[in-house]
Amino acid sequence: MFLQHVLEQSLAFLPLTLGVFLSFVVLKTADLTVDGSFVLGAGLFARLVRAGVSPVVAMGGAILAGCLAGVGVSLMQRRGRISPLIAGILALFILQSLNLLLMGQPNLSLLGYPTALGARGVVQLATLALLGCVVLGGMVVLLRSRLGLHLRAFGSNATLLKLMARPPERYRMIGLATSNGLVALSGALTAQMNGYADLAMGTGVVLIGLGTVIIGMQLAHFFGRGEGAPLAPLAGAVVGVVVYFTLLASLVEVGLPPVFLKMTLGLALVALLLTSQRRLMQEVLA
Amino acid sequence: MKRLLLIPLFVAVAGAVFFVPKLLDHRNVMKVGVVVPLEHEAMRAIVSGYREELEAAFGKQVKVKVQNAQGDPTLLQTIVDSYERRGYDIIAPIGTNTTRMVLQRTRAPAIVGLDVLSSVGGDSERVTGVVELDLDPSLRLIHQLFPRLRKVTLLHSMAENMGRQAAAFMERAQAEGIEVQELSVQSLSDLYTVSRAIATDSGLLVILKDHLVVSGITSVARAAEERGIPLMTSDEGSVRNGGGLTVGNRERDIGRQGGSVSVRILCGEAPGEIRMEPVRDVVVFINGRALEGQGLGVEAVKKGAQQLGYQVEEVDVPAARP
Repeated sequence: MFLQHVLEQSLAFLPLTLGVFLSFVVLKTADLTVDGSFVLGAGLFARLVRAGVSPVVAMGGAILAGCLAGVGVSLMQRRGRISPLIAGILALFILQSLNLLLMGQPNLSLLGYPTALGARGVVQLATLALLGCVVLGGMVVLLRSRLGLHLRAFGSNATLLKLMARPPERYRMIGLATSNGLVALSGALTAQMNGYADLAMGTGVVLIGLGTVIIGMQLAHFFGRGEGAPLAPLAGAVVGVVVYFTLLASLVEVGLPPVFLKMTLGLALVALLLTSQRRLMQEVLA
Repeated sequence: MKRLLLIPLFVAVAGAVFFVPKLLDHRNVMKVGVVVPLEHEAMRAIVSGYREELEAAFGKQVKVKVQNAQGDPTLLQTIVDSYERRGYDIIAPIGTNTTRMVLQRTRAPAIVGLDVLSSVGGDSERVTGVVELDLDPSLRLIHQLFPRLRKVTLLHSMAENMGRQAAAFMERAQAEGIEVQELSVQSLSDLYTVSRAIATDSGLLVILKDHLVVSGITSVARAAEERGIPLMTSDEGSVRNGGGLTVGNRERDIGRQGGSVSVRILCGEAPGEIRMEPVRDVVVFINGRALEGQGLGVEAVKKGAQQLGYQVEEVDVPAARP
């Protein structure tokens, strides 16, 4: 059951991890909209389901809303007018109000409403696993495609894109839209698993995303799968999210007082970063 | 090679994580898990009353585990999952949201919600608990103490069920001919500015059971004092920290009543057969020093409360610094 719970949480947060990976590692853009997009996805999903919309369609709506949030952030950054960090914070401010307007109230209960995940237990786990495979497969296809190449080029050297007569802003928009769409999907999944959507449920999720990406990339480098395998960091991110939630569940299981939990996790990440190669730090934090 | 040595180390740690808690679990002891969503004085009082009641009934035959999520939703999920894995006989979450999460995420046979909405469990037979006090006592006390009141200011956050509670308060007040100025905050940093926007013709400042606003109660109390109007809060702790008065249940009584419901379940009653009720004892808590600064007499409040049949308690307030 420990494994089931860890996998369920990991699979629900996998789209978020992949979204953060896309923005922070591939695009090299510090996008802090994540906390707001997460709630946007959860809130819109809850609102639609309570209005009688099918949960699957509601999840599609949540993803679309996340994509639109990403488009909004990219427009703010267009041509360097607002730095990515500030744009993300501003988008977060705007989303705090927008989410409340969308939900109509700070908390929406989903108890008694249908979900897209099926009955709790094996069915839910299987559904999450299937969804995780689809999302991961989509990311692999994206990153291996020409579009993915251009997204990576944007992150590495946007000037190169201009020299190739490719508009960098287009790739910024596509990347951030995809990233926030994935985050919103995680929000919708979490709302279904918890039975409610709440304005405060997005607090700190960007840190979870970053933490899982850092763990994963360190693991990828540790086992010697660096430059020779371009998708290694992506695989690392997947492993990273499982490691993160395994660590969290383990610390709770052994009885570590929760007041020390965040500190312990933070110190573990600090230790990882300090022992990492300089390149890893540049990839994540540049 | 050195990296491969990490594998047996990882296996040893994983084994310790899986097996040590099971070894430490006492097979013949009843296990109850309390889920506290955030750090708050009121929550501590609830837990204390709950634990007291269970231990009085069962002594060492019951093990009460308390885990606090420190306001972190992800940690809350992990704690709830952990309780399900460990096969707790009862899970006792505090608050409506937390109870909903436990109901959705677990198959726990008994869930005793503490200080929750009566509708929290829906049709589920696994849920019972202690209902939060509704608005009636507060509105009755307002009428008793301020018969000529025409306008109140309601200060609330956007947390949890505040929107619903605020809407209910405004509807009831307006039905009784009292105009309500609604001031809402989304974060603690907004509290100072928003609390200074109290209308000049408002006769009372009201805060509902709102953890975010209560966190900044000192700032709100100063605003009420500057304006010379009473501040009516919703729990004993906020009265101690500057609120003038409140009418509610003792948090410890909520815990005790939840504890007695849990005792009945552990003695064989089904949760679905135990009616969810609020705590009967309604108490008016008074901070004399704060009330004087806010322009209201302590004796007048005491008299009004006693006429309504409420108990009165003056809370201990730390002495002012010279």
